[in-house]
Amino acid sequence: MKKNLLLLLALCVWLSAEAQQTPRFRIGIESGTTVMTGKIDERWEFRLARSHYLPEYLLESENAEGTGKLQFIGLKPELSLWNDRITLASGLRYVRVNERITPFSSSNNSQLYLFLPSQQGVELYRLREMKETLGYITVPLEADLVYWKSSRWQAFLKGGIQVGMKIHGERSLDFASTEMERYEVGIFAAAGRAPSGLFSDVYSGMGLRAILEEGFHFSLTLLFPPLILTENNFSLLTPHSFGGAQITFSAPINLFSSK
Amino acid sequence: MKYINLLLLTLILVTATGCYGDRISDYRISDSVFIEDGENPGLPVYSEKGYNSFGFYWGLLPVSTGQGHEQSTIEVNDGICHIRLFGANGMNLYMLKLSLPGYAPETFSGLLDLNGKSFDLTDPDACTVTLQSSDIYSSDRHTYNLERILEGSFMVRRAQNLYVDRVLNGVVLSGTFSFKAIVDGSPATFLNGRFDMCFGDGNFFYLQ
Repeated sequence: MKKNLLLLLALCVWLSAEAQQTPRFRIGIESGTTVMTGKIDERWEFRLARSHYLPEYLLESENAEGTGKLQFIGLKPELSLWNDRITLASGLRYVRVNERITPFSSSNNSQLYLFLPSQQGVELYRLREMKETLGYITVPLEADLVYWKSSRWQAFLKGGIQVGMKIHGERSLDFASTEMERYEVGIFAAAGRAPSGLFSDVYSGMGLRAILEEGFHFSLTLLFPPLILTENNFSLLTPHSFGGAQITFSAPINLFSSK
Repeated sequence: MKYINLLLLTLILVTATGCYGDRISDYRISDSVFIEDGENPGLPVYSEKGYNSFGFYWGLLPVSTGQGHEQSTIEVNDGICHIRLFGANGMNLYMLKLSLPGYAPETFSGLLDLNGKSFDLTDPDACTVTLQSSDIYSSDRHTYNLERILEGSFMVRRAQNLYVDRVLNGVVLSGTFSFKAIVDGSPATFLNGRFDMCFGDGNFFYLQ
């Protein structure tokens, strides 16, 4: 136990010494997008529009298609350590999630028949589309590790975690009959809980960074599917995987110095 | 005078249109939805959602709804309610008719009275069974001679209204049946029968 503590202390001292050699503060702007795929949330059940022969393991909602997109933009202060081999970053992000449920067919006449639990009998509502838009403010914590570098390029691995709160959320139903619009609120209320206000996920990726003139950096990161730590974040889809990309443009802080 | 006749005709047309304003017949709802029952291959899963599905095993032969068969109907005539269920197996089409004497609803809404009702198929005063077949290339129907029902029952587990956009579209009858009978002189079994049919303006006929 004592040996382990001594080794850990020595490592911290060495890292600190390395960090003290060339710490560089940077400020960056980032933007990214990830594509959501997954199954339609179980609370939504649709009647098949045409006669299909389906095995029992396919749910009735298989005639509907769920798609989504997560986009974000943020301000990101960065700290480069160990001769730019490690970059730590945080900041503030606005994350926007858009989800849609539409019929499989792209025909203008295609529509969904949404089942609504009812004591009156079987209740169906004809829909062209279901949409949900959610907005979060999150604080990310990221670390990049450069595993290859040249004078102008760096290849890195990224890992990060973000935590945030929902600041707005809207859901809408595009009814085939406009007379049904007044029942939209009741349908969502009958379907259950609204999305959770807390959002957190861990994510990773690999990227390439260009070292530009005057110390500017431009990075492109390919993001792997994240792991969402919080529950009940989306009411239309149960996401199974994301994939996406992130771009970051950063400038050294001393560029703005009055010296 | 001529304007009065025109006014009367207009009034009749408007009234006739208004009578159908609170009921619709959606073609897509009339289609059959077949989701195979994993425990009974070839038969639709039992449902209570107005999927217009129907199926049973005639011995080892599965008969079920699918493409290329007629729409199931209910006909009320001479104080008897005839429920005609149509299915197929390959090129062969089958019609199973269950006749309920003494039950004569005037509209499809009257079918709600069947909710939870069970009928003993060995009692002809409760329910009689007719079985017909044909092939898709011929309009001739062969009626099987069901000499005697040995045992069996027909049960409507649930009868409920079906609404589309909050407008009444029909009544959904969902249930199960099974029986053993002497058919054309030989014993036969009809097992694991299930149906989930919507009957509305398009397939309910009151002929009395």
